[in-house]
Amino acid sequence: MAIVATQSNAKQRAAEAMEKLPFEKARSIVFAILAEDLSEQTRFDIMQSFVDRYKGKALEEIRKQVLLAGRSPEDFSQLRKTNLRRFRYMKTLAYGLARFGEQGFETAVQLVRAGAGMRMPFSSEEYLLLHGIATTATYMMLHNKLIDPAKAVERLHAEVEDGEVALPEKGLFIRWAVRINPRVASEWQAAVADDPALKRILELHRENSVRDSVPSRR
Amino acid sequence: MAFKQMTKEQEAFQQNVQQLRDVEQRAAAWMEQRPLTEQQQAALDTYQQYRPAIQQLLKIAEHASSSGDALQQMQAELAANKPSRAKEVAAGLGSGAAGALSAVGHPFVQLYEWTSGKEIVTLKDTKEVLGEAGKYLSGKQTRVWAQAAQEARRFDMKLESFYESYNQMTRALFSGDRQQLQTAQDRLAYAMEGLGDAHGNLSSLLRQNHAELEQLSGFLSVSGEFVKNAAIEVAITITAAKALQLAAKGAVKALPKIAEMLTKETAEGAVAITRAEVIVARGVTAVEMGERTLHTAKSGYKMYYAGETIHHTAEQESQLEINPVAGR
Repeated sequence: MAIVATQSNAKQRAAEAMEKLPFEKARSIVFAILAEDLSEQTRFDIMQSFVDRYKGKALEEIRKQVLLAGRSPEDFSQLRKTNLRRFRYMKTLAYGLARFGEQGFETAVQLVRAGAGMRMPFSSEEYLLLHGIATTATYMMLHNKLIDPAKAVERLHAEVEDGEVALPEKGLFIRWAVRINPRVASEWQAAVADDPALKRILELHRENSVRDSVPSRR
Repeated sequence: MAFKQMTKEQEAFQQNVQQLRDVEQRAAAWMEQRPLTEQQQAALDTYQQYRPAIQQLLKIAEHASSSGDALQQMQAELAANKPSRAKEVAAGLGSGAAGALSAVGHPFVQLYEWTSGKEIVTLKDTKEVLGEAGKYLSGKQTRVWAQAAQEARRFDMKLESFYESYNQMTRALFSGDRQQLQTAQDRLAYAMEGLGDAHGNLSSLLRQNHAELEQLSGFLSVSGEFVKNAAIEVAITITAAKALQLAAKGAVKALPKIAEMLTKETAEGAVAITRAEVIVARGVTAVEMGERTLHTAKSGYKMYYAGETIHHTAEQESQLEINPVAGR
């Protein structure tokens, strides 16, 4: 009963904040509540109300929160095992982004690009948590047909060809593109011919899509 | 007598920035000289590791100096506007309105006289200008300017603490002391929080009193522009400072060796041996290129694997029904 009361209380507190307070104050309260130990559904419900109420302002706020919460160079998959509460918060941010469809996808792309500037100089990790959040958001959009797959691949191709995008980010964009259309692994070979790392990534995608499995870490 | 005066922290800030620029310049010079001795190459390699942190520090320094530029512009505009305004007041002596203006002292002329011969170089100066401006205003304008002056005062204090933490961060980077670096990071985080508040206050002041700020003309609009610039500047500074925090997080080795190694004398010494070893250098470059190719191929695999783990988790977590936002 206590847990149920907490969940309902969280929704009520968030609703009251959005009802009575200006956006600047309400957003801090809402995201503080979202970080509490709540069920996934409660978090989604609160995020849904936040997005429906503030729309564009909500998207901007979610973007900022992803940058804030996602800057850590942690393994996104490991986080699910080590800190479920934090992982659910990240997933809620992805859920918020996904509800914006095309706009959310563009934001996800920009977030991934921003990751390059946030990577620590001596870190051995290629990706930050925000890469995981952006990927989850994009896959949610694809699963719910909220974005046009062909346009998305086109957009990702432009990112892979952009000289200003860093290598790990290009690698992730390739992963998204292969998720949408596995033929990309063969079709984009020519576009990355000058880059041995990207070429290797595409080769691995092509080989493993045939095997339909991921090799173990070497 | 605040004018032209710089605080110790600001002076140290300038010195630290200069030291970082020196390191950058010398490293750039070394990069063009091949081959280098083993020791020189080691120093250059270490520099490469620290390069992101150094460049972030320099980026922040640029943002910090932009406030000085904005204030100088303000002063220049004040000086440039004086003759026409004075003329305007003088020409209108016959009319009631202008006569009244002249009798009470047109705020622009009064303020110009007050600032004449003084150099506005710091935020503290601007704070005083804003305070003085407040004396000549009325009604809601007075309140807006009082608030602006108050915010400038607060911002000045916060910026001072930012300079202090910036300097500590630079010193910590050069000392390589983990404890010092941690303390510097904590202080920087605290200073950033203060700057964040100042940014919020300035933004809210601008939003709430937009009409009043728009109405104000002459020197007031210039000052209004400053307040606007300050708000933008704080936002940029916060972003850059956050990036610095990240860059500094990885900096566990010491920078002093690089600073020591990258001295002018050593760099000049390197030039002397360049010619004799140029052929060897070409060979080394060829080997390096081969190694780089191998390295990038390996990093391709690493990235692929890291991307796959994200992909599989995201795939599992994305299997839920979502309604798009209505009425966007």
